Amino acid sequence: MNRQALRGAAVSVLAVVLALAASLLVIALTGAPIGKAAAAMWDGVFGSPAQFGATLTKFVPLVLAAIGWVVASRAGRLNVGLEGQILAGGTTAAVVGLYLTGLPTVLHLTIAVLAGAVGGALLGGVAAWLWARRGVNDFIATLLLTLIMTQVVSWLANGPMEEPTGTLGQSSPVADTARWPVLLPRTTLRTDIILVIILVLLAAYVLRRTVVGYRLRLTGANVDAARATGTRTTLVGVGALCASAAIAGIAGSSLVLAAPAANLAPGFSAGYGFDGIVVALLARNSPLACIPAALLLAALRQGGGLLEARVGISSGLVTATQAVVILLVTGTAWYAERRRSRPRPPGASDVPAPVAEGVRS
Amino acid sequence: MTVSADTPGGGPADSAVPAALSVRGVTKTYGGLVANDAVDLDVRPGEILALLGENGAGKSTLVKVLSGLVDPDAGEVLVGGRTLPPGDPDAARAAGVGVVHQHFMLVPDMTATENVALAQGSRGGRRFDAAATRARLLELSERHGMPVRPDVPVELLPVGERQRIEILKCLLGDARVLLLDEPSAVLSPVEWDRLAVVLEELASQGLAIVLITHKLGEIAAVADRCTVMRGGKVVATVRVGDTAPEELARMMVGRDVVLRTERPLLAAGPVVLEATGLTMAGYRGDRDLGPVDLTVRAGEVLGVAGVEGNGQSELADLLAGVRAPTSGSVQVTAPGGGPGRTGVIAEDRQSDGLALPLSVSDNLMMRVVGDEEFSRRGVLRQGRIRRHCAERVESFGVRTAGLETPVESLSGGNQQKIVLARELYGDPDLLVAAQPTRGLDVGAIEFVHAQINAHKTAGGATVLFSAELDEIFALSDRIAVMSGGRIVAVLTADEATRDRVGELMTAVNGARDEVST
Repeated sequence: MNRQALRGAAVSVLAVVLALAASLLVIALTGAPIGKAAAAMWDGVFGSPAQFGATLTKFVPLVLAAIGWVVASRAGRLNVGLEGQILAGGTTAAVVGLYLTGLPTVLHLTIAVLAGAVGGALLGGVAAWLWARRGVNDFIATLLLTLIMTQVVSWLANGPMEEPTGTLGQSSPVADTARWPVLLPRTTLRTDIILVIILVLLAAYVLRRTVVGYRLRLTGANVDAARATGTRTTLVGVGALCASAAIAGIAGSSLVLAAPAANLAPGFSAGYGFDGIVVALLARNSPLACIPAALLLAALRQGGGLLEARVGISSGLVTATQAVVILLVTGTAWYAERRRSRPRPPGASDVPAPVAEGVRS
Repeated sequence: MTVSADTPGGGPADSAVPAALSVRGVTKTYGGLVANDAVDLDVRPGEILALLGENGAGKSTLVKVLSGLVDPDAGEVLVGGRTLPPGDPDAARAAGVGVVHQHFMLVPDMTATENVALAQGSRGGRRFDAAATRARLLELSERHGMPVRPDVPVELLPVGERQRIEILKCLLGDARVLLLDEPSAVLSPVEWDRLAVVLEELASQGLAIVLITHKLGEIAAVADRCTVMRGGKVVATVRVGDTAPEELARMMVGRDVVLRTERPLLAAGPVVLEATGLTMAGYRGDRDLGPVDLTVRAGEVLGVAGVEGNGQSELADLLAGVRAPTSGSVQVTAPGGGPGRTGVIAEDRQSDGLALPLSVSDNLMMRVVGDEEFSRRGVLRQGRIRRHCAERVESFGVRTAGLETPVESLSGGNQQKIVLARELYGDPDLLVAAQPTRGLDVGAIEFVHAQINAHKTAGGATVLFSAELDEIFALSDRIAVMSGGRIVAVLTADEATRDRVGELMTAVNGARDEVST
């Protein structure tokens, strides 16, 4: 690990510590006993195997969404529509899980997870096509497609895919052969967490050690230089968006196939797509650092529940803590950048800027 | 030879006249970097003082201090004997300090009159008397022999005329001291000669002029005295008439400098580059590039000269294959037959040549990463890549802390060495070098020139684009002159003289440049 990465990690840890301190202060201001609140938080995360299992269950989609963000943003693309791609992936996985029956578990589950990846990639592909061929900003395209996808899922769950009684506004559970096996008995944790670890390591390896990963990082760092030296940058951008969306789609498939209810319900994505961006920010776009960062956010989400039940503090406060983390992380990153770039050599402005030019093809 | 360093503090004996502009002990640091270290400087009315120094010597910082844009850590600036409040551009302007920046401060779609009025704005109250401003502008323009068109948006005017507007803007603001930052950078030799006459005339009327430059020839032409800066300090102030250019260069760089590189002469080989009928529609606004025809042979350097903005950047992009022509073709042939490889030194290395946040090693791999030698089935071969990059860094003398250091933390010269190390790898058949020494110091320039000559000696063809005529003359076997988006002439090194090339550079522009006032 080089010095820059170490400093980045230090900045992230510092931001988290500051955010926790700030939230403790807010808790103290509401009049609740801090000790009791902290204990409730701790129990919420580690108090029992069930609680810890639940934390890890939340960890899975968070880390996947974060990896999705990292893959796109390393190529210079902003995929803020992870939430929509989670919905799309979960929907296609649910379709396969519900309507494709009579297969052995290994095959059925594999196909359902792959269907999730394809579903996510399809939605991401639409955004990628708009970006590459129609010049639509990728940020806007992915975000707006999320809004559409939210409505589509709501319609499917209340219409064509609704369970037979037609009263619950959600689908029937998927076939047992399409569900992830339980990893820890009497917890919600299922074996999909193993797939997650594999995907994180794979993403780190591809980015660091392969030609594709190199071209992706190069394109993200300077698209003009990349193009001038023979990298097909539009293709890289499209590929990065699709891969990013496919990973989000897998997160969506987990939210259906590894959930207790194992069905399609409106809003099953529960904001994981957006929280994944926070995780990636906290991890400073490093795939491996996404693991501790996602654990932290999962713990905050999980611990917040018990905080509300035991001490009577709104779990909204936990959300506020997350917001403080975002602000501090982006704030410190900006500050570190500024500190680094300020001592410019006095001759820097001697270099004539390029003459303004027309649009480059 | 006398370096009559008449100490700026005490001032020379012959001056009973107070200095128009004095700098006393100005110090400015950025982080740990001392940009100006106790700088002293004096200019008297009617004098042209050259401020000479390499990039990074602290000239620009000093100009910023003088114009009130930067607040110095210590020291003071006096105009006509009165101390200027530090870091106050309005006060500096009001005291009569006029600055012509290297990059003009004009609103492109406003006319000369409007631009001048804009600069006066804060003084003239709310009302803008266009007719009066226009009349004053024309009167000054006529009196000083600086023709300008007052009613044409400045973006449609040639650079020389825009520069004259900048100068007139200062004069209209009652400037007593005129600072010109690298004024010749955008001018053809002919335009520069004309400007030199104007400057001498302005000085004879009592204006104090500071000419910031790194070109020795300009100093000899117009300046009375020269203050040399190096590493943020004033090295010496000398009379120009008493000092040889070699001596000035030595003071500027701090060691002996080879001002001329020996150009190897080779018998031209087979044709490597053949460009036919190249055009690009609307390369700058409504101006079209071309048609351009070019042939360059193995072992030959073709220099392309021209005033900036006459299509050289675009032609370089076409030859490099970065942009596609509207019509025409670029053929690069290896001397043994078959398609040839092209190496490119991009005009703006930071935006087009390097990926600044990535490591030295990543930046060296851009072109070859997909080759069998460095990757197998899509997986990078780490060991080979490390050895390759270490070898490149070593043989091009790149000074870096390590292969994983981000390129953005290297100096401009070292960044350019990385570009050269990458683009010259594997001996490309054609090298397209656009402004290869822009912003580099003398040492790095020597290195780049040596590399271009080595490429040539190894049998490569080169197209060299440069705004520095000296560079073109030093390296080229043939010189093509561009003007108005076309190649107006191709001369051999023997028949090309500075005057001839200078004339051709402005052949089209120059005609439009003449204004009947």
